[in-house]
Amino acid sequence: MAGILGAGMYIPLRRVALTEISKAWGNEDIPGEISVAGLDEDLFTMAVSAGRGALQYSNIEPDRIGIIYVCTGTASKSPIASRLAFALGANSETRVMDLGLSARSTTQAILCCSDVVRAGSAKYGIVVGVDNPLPEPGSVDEMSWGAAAAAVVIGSEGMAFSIAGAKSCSSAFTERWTVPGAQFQRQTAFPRFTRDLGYLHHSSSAGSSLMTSLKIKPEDLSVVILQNSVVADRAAKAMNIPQGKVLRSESGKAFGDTGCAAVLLDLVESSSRVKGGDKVLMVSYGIGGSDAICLVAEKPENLKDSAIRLAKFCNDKTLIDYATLLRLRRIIGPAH
Amino acid sequence: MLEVAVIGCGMTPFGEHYGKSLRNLVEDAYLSTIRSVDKGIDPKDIQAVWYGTLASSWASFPIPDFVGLSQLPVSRLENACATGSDAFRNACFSVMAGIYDVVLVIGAEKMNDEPCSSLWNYQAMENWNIGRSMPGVFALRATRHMHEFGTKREQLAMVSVKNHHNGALNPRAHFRFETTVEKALKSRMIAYPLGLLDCCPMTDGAAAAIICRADIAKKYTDASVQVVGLGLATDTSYGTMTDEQLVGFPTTTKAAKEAFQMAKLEPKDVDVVELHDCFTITELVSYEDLGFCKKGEGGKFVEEGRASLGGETPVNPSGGLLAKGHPTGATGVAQIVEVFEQVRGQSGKRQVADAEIGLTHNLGVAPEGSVGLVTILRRGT
Amino acid sequence: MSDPFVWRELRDEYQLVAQRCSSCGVVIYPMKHKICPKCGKIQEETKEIKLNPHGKIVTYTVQYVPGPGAKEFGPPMILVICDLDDGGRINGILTDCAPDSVKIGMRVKLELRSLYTSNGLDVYSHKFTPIKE
Repeated sequence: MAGILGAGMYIPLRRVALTEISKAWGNEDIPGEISVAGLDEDLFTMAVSAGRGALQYSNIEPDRIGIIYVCTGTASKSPIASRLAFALGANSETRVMDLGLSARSTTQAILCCSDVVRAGSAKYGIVVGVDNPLPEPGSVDEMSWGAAAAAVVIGSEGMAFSIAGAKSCSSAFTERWTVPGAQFQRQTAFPRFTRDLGYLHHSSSAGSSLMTSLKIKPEDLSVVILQNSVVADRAAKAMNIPQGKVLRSESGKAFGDTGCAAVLLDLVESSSRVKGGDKVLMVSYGIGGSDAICLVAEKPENLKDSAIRLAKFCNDKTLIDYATLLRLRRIIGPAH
Repeated sequence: MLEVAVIGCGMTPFGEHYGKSLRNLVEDAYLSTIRSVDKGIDPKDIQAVWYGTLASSWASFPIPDFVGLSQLPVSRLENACATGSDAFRNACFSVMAGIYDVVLVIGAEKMNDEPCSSLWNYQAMENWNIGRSMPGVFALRATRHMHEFGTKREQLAMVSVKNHHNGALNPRAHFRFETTVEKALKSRMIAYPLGLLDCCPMTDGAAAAIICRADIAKKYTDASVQVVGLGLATDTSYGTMTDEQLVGFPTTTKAAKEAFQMAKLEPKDVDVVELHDCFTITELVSYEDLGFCKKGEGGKFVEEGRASLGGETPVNPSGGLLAKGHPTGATGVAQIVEVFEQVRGQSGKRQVADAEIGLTHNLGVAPEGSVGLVTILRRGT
Repeated sequence: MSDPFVWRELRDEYQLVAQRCSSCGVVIYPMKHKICPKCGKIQEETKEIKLNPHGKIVTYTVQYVPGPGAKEFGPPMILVICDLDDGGRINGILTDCAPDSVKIGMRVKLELRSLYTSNGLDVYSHKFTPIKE
């Protein structure tokens, strides 16, 4: 058996009120905020901060890490995992893996890492989910995505949560893609098509299939973590999960949809709501599909300090305006 | 060791000289220096040249071409903003050692248009100094000085007001306007707590001096000026920045000590001072570092008018770097020019009464450390 | 900055590896010295230590006109000199702090951040960030 020992995270200080963005486009007020990286922050800096936190809260020395995964849906200039390993002080022999292109790569990595640990190829592994989104100005994504990093240490002893099982659901469904030379990703022009045949279908298929295979009923679950999405309600309904069990996370409200970091941040938050033996269903969604993971709380109190840290990140913020947002994302600014 | 005297000095007006090249500036400074020698000098008497520039040209090559002194020994010297004084110092050593009898010093800088990888483009030695501008480097001292001694921005502004007043009286100064404490406090913030009027400008200019053995000075002038003290010190702020370095420049103190010892003089003997006011805070801490007042009392010193033209120790009658300007390679030599003229009674409206002993102070600072130079000159008999 | 320049300093910059003089005990950072810059003693061996990233501000300034390399992060930029808890007086940049909130004595922590880009590639080291106790 393998599972999560400890967690760290990093969320940038700056936030934009969604109203600031929608006003600029002549639309109505909308509540909520998203987190935005500063000019001197990026995938790497956030991953390092989150990784350092994970090691600190797990009380593990960096040279004991056998494998590191970095998962991000954001384009990166160069591989991150190897330099992250270096920055954390891991051994140069540590295995490194960069997974990307989809927000569900974090859950893929958790499962792979768990397999590596169970196979005895590594005693401990780190999985980092990080995103620093660059959505097109005026798009719905601009009002939903936030920047964040979360990292967990995976091992087989002293677990806060163990992994009881997992099921995936993937297909050729491509709702978003990159065009060479274009600054922003493109996406399908049919929002309900994407919602229903993308998010809903894959999330609920993976989740339902997992519950069936583990012989778990929705009532048996204590907390359900779904990829932060305005349509989490529909996905829960499709899986017959009572609405009250779906985590409406503070971090989701504070930072927006943080892509690869989202499910890990939510897991940290859920740790204060569960006790030993409770079951947590975690379902990710990204381009290409979903992974559903069932986690069992072993010593959820081991994530208590991480949860306190996360709460601080939610509350420590500096609000910026829309023009500053565009400048920080280097969409406007001095030409080089 | 032989005694050394200055027998001629000259400089170009300092300012933004878009219409003049480096060649033009050096020519003008050189010619005005030759012409300043009271009894005249045959350029062929000059036996060696020390040429100081931060970054306006390469090696010694310009000099034979610019001043028509071919096949002479020319050494090019650079020591950050203390370049001019160091060129002067080395030139003096060559005469003190008896190697040459008559030597020329030239300091020149073209900061405004020719390719000049000077101060403002300087490459930080390592990542931790990235982004530091010169005003920033000095502003760090200002903040700490204000914190430790209660120094006020108003007192810094008084330095600017005083020097701009002096500059207005100096036909060769970059800036000839008067200003007020209020205007200085309201001026655009450059690096807190230093505003625009707390900072020296980017100036083009050149200055030169002719030095010879004191025992032959009479051939050139009956009013030579003796070089009686020379001091230079360096230090590092490398990961070891001391508490003293946070509120001043210990290199100044060390260089001053060496110069005063050589001259057998004390701060109270000094009648006129040209010190390195690249920023108002630099002048303020230099009153302390040079020994004109106690550490921490620099603000009071300027506030009580003790550094003003009519005060007990007039500082920067030329307008200083703040108003006269700071062509980095030329500044040290220009300070010599001012003191030379002051002790010979040639300073017109800026004349310090009965100036006999003058001190110049030239400082080069970077995040990595600093170099301080003090020169003491005395009216010859 | 040339690439080898950045690469030579990577370990010290990323992992905050400093040096302690074997004679006077001063913490030297960055760049290892064979001769102590403070006491002049020749270091037969380089004594390495990991810097404690926590410290306090000794002095600061807020630059409104960018210095070399600072333009891409835009003014204003807060420069600081900080004393670290376990030794070391470090020049640095304070980030994620409003200019009018900086105070001498403020508690800070070093975090990894992008310093500048060289030929499009980011060069990382550490900057100070305010910590709320």
